[in-house]
Amino acid sequence: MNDHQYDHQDIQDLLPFYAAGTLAAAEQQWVADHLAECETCRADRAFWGAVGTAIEAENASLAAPPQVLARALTEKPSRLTWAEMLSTWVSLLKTQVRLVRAEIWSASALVLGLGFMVALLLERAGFLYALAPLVAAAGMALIYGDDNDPVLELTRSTPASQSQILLARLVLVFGYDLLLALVATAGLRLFLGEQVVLALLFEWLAPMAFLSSLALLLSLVVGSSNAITATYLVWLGRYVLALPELNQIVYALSAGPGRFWGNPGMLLGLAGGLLLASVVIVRQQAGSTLVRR
Amino acid sequence: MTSIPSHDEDHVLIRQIADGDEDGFKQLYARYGRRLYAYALRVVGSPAAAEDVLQESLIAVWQGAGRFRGEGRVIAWLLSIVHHKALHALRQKPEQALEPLEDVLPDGAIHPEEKAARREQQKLLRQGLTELSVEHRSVLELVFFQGLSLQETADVCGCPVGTVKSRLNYAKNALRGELTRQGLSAEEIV
Repeated sequence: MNDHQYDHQDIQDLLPFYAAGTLAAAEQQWVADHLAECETCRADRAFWGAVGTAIEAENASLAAPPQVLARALTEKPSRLTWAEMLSTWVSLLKTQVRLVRAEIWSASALVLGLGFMVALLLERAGFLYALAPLVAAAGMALIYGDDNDPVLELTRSTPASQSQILLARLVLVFGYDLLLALVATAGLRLFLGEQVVLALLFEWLAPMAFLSSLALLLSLVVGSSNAITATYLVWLGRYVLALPELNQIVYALSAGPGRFWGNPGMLLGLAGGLLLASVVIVRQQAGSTLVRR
Repeated sequence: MTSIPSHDEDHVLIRQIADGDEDGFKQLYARYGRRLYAYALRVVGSPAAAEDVLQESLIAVWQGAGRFRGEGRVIAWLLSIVHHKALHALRQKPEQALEPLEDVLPDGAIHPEEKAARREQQKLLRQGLTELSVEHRSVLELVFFQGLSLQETADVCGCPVGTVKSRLNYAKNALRGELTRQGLSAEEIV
């Protein structure tokens, strides 16, 4: 950043930190240069200095209470019990509910609700099954990262690790979408007589897990928007390649898209691998934050 | 502002604490205990509640040291723990925030060598500080007593950088307004 990018308001914002003596050398010089020319800022700088003096004076006689250290030492945790670990995770999940983008909850419910209604009207359960993995993938692409978390810097400074935060959000969002899809599938079973278990396994559960993990991994690498686009294209490809004309060509070249999407074991295995890769990336990104600072 | 210990030394201490080293824990407390207690006191408003907050924060440090990844300064991490524990305490017992801070602070904090006008201003400023909300007061503490940067202050408070700026601006206007109401002229309000 150079000098020309600082205007009067920028200097005003820096003045408290100038008075506190915490600015970097270059910023300190820019403020000093501006102060030489601006009477308003000189008055504000003096005022902030007085505020700093008042705060210092208030805290001057305070001392760390020794009894707190003594008590903390006696309560040094050895190993967390299962109950404590469970309590820690419940607490983490409750915290993360507030930090996940709020629109994920309403948008997922609305889109799946719409898909459910259309599937009922058309009497085609496949419409919902095609929609469920897309909803989950979009949600997973939006659970982590600077674009999606206005307080990511805060979360990086909390005791919970970044991979724990990622997993907590994954459990919340994927669990929520899974629940919605299960309810919708049960509803279709009620009205259309679909085979719920078979549909669950082959039509959307395994693809949902795979696409969601893929969306999460891609969002960490190329950003949320690109991740959503890519996973939507992958899912669209399933239906395009299933067209009879194309299917013949694809079968000649490979094992065929039907075998890929129709193999829940392989899809779930891939989902697990992608999830593992996402955790590794988040840990690396957290480490690189330290280097940048 | 309090002097800032070495960044690397702090990270070594945290690693020692993660390994269960009580000496490391004592060193960390000797280094930062006063600052953490002061911050807890400013947020919750009473010494007893501040001690409870500090106690819970220290236990969280024991538990979380192994997961601290060295992102940023240790003091910012510690203050973020105290901040959240203190806000949690306020939510549990909101009446604590209403306790006047001056009741728990010694009179000797005012510098006797200040000139009369400055002494009056300092007195009124301290009075004004006690009337600020927790959000505004905590930002001032983080900036002026804890010596945090703009970004670090935002991190600890869990708010955007712009919010920290607006809180500082609000606090400035509120304190100046208080001084004016108490009869100080524009010239006396530096």
